Amino acid sequence: MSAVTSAAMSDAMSLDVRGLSIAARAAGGRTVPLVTDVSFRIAPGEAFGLVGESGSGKSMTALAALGLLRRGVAVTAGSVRLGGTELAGPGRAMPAGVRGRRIAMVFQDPMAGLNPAMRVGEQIAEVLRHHLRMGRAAAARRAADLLGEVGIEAPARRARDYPHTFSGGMRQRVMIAMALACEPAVLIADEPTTALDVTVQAQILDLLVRMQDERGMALLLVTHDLGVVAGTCHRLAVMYAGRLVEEGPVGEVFDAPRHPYTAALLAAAPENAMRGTAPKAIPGTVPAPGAYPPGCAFGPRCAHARPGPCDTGPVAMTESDGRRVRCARAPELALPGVPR
Amino acid sequence: MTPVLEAPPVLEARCLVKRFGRAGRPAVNGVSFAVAPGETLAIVGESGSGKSTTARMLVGLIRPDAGSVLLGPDDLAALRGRRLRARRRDLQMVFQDPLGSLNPVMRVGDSIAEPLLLHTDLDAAARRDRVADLLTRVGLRPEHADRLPREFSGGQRQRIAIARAVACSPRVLVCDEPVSALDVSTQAQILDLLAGLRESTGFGCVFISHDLSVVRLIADRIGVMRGGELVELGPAEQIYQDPAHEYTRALVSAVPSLHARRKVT
Repeated sequence: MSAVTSAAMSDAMSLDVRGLSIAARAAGGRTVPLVTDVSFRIAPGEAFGLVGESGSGKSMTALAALGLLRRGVAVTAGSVRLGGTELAGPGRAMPAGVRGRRIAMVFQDPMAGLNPAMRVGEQIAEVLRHHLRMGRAAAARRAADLLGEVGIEAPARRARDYPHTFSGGMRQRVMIAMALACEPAVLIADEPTTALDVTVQAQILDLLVRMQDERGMALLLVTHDLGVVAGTCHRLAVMYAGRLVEEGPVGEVFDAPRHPYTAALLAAAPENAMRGTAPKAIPGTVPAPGAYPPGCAFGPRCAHARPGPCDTGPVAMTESDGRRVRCARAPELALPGVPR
Repeated sequence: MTPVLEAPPVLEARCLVKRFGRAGRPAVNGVSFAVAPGETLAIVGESGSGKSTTARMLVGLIRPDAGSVLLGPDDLAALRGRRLRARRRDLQMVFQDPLGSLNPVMRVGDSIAEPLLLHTDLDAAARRDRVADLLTRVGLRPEHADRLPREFSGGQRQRIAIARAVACSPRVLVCDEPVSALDVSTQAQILDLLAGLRESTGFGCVFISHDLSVVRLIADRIGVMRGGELVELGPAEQIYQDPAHEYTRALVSAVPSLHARRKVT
């Protein structure tokens, strides 16, 4: 395949988030911005980590791409596109037949995504019959195959079991099998291992990576945990107070972050302790939506904030060598990466 | 304060057993350890390991089926009434969810003052002073005493819960997953706070966690629980560098590395 057609194909199946803003309606007709002007693109076969703390807007961004924003929360600007299809935009509803088929999701709590009163095989078969119009017998066979592909032993027998008979990690495997049933172009995983034990977490991350490599889909991994991103994602974006603050390849960002918040998060990660480096606390607390400080939102917690450049803003993101950063002082800072 | 390991333990668990329901294996099965004054013992395990049940038996929220908890020389199970209440002052607990452990309609100053009211004969003015002092020591301000829990962030609420737990200068503090509900950027703040308070007051600490990385910098010794049993107990460095039990090795190697990289395909 020539480079031109390959690039065109990659465009056709990329998840493209452009200038996305999301707001919630609050009491008295006020609107509270939750996400502001977020842009990124994920190519087929690429794993993209969207990292942030509570209230950063990372999950809202993912929910918008899935058309799952709750009542009272809406996209106010920008768009999410998959190939030529607009999935989200102001006043636009998710087109029918896309969610679950071309873009699928795995959430933190697998039990919440499973019907407790229905055999897991039937739940997966239901997806196949609805989206792909498969017959009953074919869907049942395919459901069992999928359970086998995600590493469930004796899949044909387990397909007849109910969700409560599976452990947390096994339930998450079932959710992944269901999400992959229609061979989606994009898989969105929102904190898929946060509720799992650490030994199980490693297995589920391995599974996600393997499934992605086999299928060439785009993966959006939403997480608060930089340790999860490190070995799983090719690129990442860091969100703070509803905006992207940094975006780039995982290795480059981890080795030499350009935003003080990214550097502070890397230093605060508990995983540092495993190599004997004390995690370093970030002073202050994450600001709540609607209560973002003026100027740079991270300014009040930032060790590098200076009166003047950091009081205005938030500044625009600047781009160089395939990396983006939103910091007035970025050009003059040399920030430490992950401690060696 | 460095832990005084040769001193008599402030807290000792002797062969604790707890079974829920009649069938099946016990949730906790013969767990024994001792905590020295000023020492932090971390109990690490995955879900279902029995670590939280153990914590609850230590503070008397659950009564063991067998075995005993010794607070200094006293067997907690043998104490009743006034003597038990008096000894409770020496044994305090911090929970994972501070919102669940603080009364939502009580001003946080009153919440912090409650143990002082129960366990000391300080008058109202002295209690107010002590609350102001405690709030300052946990990194908040005296005027925060008049606010309600919902006005604080998760990390600040955990500071309030810690202030209340240390109000009567306990000899032992049991912390059950005290940072796992907090944002990454505030977790280290709370760990620093606990380490600082231990330095200044010298309580012995039992720190329950599912996360080996979280306890590395606060634990003097680490016990690893699995299936209700303590499978390994040793100095923290040894657990990380040279784990003896196969399960401990699996736990250590499962912590994701910030240095791992996915290959570009």
